Amino acid sequence: MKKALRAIFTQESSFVFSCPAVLWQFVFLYMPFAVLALYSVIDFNEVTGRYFLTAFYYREIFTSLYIQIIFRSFLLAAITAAVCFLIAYPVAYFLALKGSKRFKTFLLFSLIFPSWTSLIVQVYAWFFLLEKNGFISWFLQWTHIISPSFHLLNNYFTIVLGMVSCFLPFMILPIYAVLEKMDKRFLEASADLGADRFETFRRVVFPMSLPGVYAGIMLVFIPSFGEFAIPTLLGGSKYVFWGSVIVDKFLRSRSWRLGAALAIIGIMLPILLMCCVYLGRAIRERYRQRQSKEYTEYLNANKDLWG
Amino acid sequence: MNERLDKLAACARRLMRRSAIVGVYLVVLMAALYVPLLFSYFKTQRTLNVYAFTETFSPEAIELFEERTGIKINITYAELDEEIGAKFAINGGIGYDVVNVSDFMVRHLSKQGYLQKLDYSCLPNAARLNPRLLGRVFDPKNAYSLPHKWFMYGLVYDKNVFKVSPDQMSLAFVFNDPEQLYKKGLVSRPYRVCMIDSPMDAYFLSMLSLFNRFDQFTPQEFDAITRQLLQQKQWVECYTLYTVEYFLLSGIIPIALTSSNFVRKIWDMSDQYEFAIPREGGILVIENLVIPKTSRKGDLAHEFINFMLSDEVATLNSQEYGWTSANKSAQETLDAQYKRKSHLFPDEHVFKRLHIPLFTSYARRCADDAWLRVGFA
Amino acid sequence: MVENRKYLGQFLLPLVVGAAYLFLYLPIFVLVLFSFNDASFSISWQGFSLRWYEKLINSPEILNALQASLIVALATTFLSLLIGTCFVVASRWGRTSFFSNLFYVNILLPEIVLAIGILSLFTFFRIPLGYGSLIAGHTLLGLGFVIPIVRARFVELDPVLTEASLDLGATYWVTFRKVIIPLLMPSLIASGLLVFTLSMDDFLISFFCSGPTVQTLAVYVYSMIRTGVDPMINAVSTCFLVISSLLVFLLCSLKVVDQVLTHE
Repeated sequence: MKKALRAIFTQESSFVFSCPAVLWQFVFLYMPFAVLALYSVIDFNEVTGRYFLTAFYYREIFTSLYIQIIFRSFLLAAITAAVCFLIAYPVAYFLALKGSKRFKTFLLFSLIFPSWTSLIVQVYAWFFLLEKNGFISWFLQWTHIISPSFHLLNNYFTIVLGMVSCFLPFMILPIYAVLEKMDKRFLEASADLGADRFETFRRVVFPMSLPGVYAGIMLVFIPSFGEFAIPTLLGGSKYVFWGSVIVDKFLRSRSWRLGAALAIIGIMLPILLMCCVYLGRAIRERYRQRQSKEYTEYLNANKDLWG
Repeated sequence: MNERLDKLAACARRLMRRSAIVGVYLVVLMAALYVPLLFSYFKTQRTLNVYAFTETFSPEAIELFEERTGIKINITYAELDEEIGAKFAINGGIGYDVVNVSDFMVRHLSKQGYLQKLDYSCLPNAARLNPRLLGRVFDPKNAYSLPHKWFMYGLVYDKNVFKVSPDQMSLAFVFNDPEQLYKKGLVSRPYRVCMIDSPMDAYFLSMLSLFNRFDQFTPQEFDAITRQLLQQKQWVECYTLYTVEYFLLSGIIPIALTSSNFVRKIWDMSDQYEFAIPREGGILVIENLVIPKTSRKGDLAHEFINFMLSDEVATLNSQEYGWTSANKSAQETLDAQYKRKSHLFPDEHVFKRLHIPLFTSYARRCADDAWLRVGFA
Repeated sequence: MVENRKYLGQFLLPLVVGAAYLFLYLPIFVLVLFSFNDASFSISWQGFSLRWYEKLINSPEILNALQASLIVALATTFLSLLIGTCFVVASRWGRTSFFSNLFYVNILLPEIVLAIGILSLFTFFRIPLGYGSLIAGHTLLGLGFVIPIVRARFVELDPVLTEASLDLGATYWVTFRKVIIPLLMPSLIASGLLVFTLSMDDFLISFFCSGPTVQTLAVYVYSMIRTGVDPMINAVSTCFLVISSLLVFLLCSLKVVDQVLTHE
């Protein structure tokens, strides 16, 4: 018996070791999706006591307010990603290309450090800071920018502020990683060929940093789409987003089936987005390859001309 | 041909081997996940799982109970009744022995058959309870629940802005446009309000203010209520229950529709606020202790409930957090500390203004959906 | 003209970076400062005091929550490192390197979907919620971090080293222990610390998947915030920050960071 076990082990050793991870993924990620999908299409008829397939919950979502809520969450996530990008790119650029070597890692980590604390702590810190008697209000009143009765909480601007501050490091890191790895000789070459700093940035640095930018946008857009703690605590529950609706459906109003349908639709969005991005890049890659193929053919055809 | 068959056989063997490996892993995983179930069956130690709202049982009281009876307590905290209801719907409340829920949830759970009947021979302290809290519509014979704590939804307001006596205080101050009220000279300045964030209670109070009725609403009334709530959003600062004291004390808003639980804390910090039950009516919320049917420690649970309802412990708990206890002497002790007349200590005449909303689940679902519209606006 | 623009440009960039730092650190600074405030309602500064920390230490609920968080975090870190490393190393030798791409989904999907998915799964199969469900959920997230990080380092390892070790007569197991693990150590430590912090801070999965017997620190803080603005939250948050900064300090001092980032 032991020999047989040993034989199996040595023959399939790589499978044995790589299996748990894939199994974990399957059991705790893909099966839940299957369960959610099941919940969203199967309903229980209390009269007859039997289960039946239904598209009721999906129809409910598409014919009413929920689509608008999803669109709004999409908008918020897009705004967050855009603002993060505008702030993160200069910071990453500075750290990667201009920072002195010794302090680079320290600076980078001190940027990421605030996000290592719990999300709840960060959100509460902003609540505390922005409240009427908090530091920022006091400062703005002291400089007479706002009147004493004005305060900063419970509006859209505050929500965006909270989101950006929580997700900014996730945008900085990928861009920094890509810029850091970039060969600096490209910059020298570009300068040698006569381009000034703006030109270099526009045509060399920025296109090369695009993979990092995409990664950053993914890392910020998708989590901020599903965020619910920030709008609740900083927005005074006056704004309803996809995340808060799902929490409400699951924990408050006990309509799990509707919640599951909403969740499925919400997952589809990032997946579609990622597919679009991949497709776009694949198409562009194909186009580029075809272009370079045409170019080499052209060169070969006119070899005698070029010598 | 033979080669093909060999390959197929090899493939099949490999598949079998791999399935066996996957099977082993799955068995280990299942065992690890289901182990707690076995634990809860074989636990011989005397423990009690309590599921309660925050700020209900003070740590001192828990310690006292553990010392006196040797039963260990595990408390889990919930915030909303619906949360508790959802957990009951999942597995019938397995894992909990004593649960602290509000009135309408008691009715829902008892109707679904999730609760055990209380054995009054083990509960001598039930006699110490305030009689006006017993025998209410959600559990007429108190067969399944006993009140532990109660509070009201009413208005907390700044006396300097609203120079109205508490008896005259009205929901109109919250549901009507403050600009209009200011123009008519009823208030000294325009303001914003804090509103409760629970759809059912908001609907009920809105119905009271519009129609002065408190039973089920018709579809037209439902639309009218939704319209009023949508309109109200323009002058709502925040939909919250808990952060109300912050918004009041920092002067952001002068009036809030909120629960009476926070009033004592506010009184401790400032003299300028008063609590009033509006003349159209308010909401009475009674929090009860119940025992799930699935609990096997009924006797221990009864001991816990009896302990918590006793005079000294009820006083301890309510002193700690400032809410009103269902135990008569505890309530009197707390009230005597604040030597003032107020709607917080309602006499019969004011107490009659309070209602317990009991909507059908269909009505509640409608309210939830409409609340989404209010939130989205 | 060009010089003027250059001068402005030189000034502008550090300004933006400085503003970003201010933006990220101001709330935390104020939070920590006011955790030492003596006022019971955080309106104004009323003197230095440690009373919120005393209240913190004397509160059994917080200590229980901390204990629960620690247990879950340690178990999560151990499991993710174990499972993740095994997968990375094994997938090189097999032909399953494609599967590594699967794991990016863990961190890309909104966490709330993961949380309700796991809740639904456990409900569907009547598995009791508790430590098991929490650790399962957190490990799922952890794998999404461990596998990319360790893999990035692993594929850069020179296969010559492993081949040399095998040629010299060591078995796979010894090679693994004495050659591969030490080479992977920086990324293991980095991802381990990352997963530990992630699990300690995690709120969404803990909120949905905890059962009657478990409450983690992050969930407890959330319920405290919902209950009102209490300066004890400041004290708890400061403790969170101190723990995180200790971990960062640990990372930096081990020179792991440099190696991971510059891929030496």
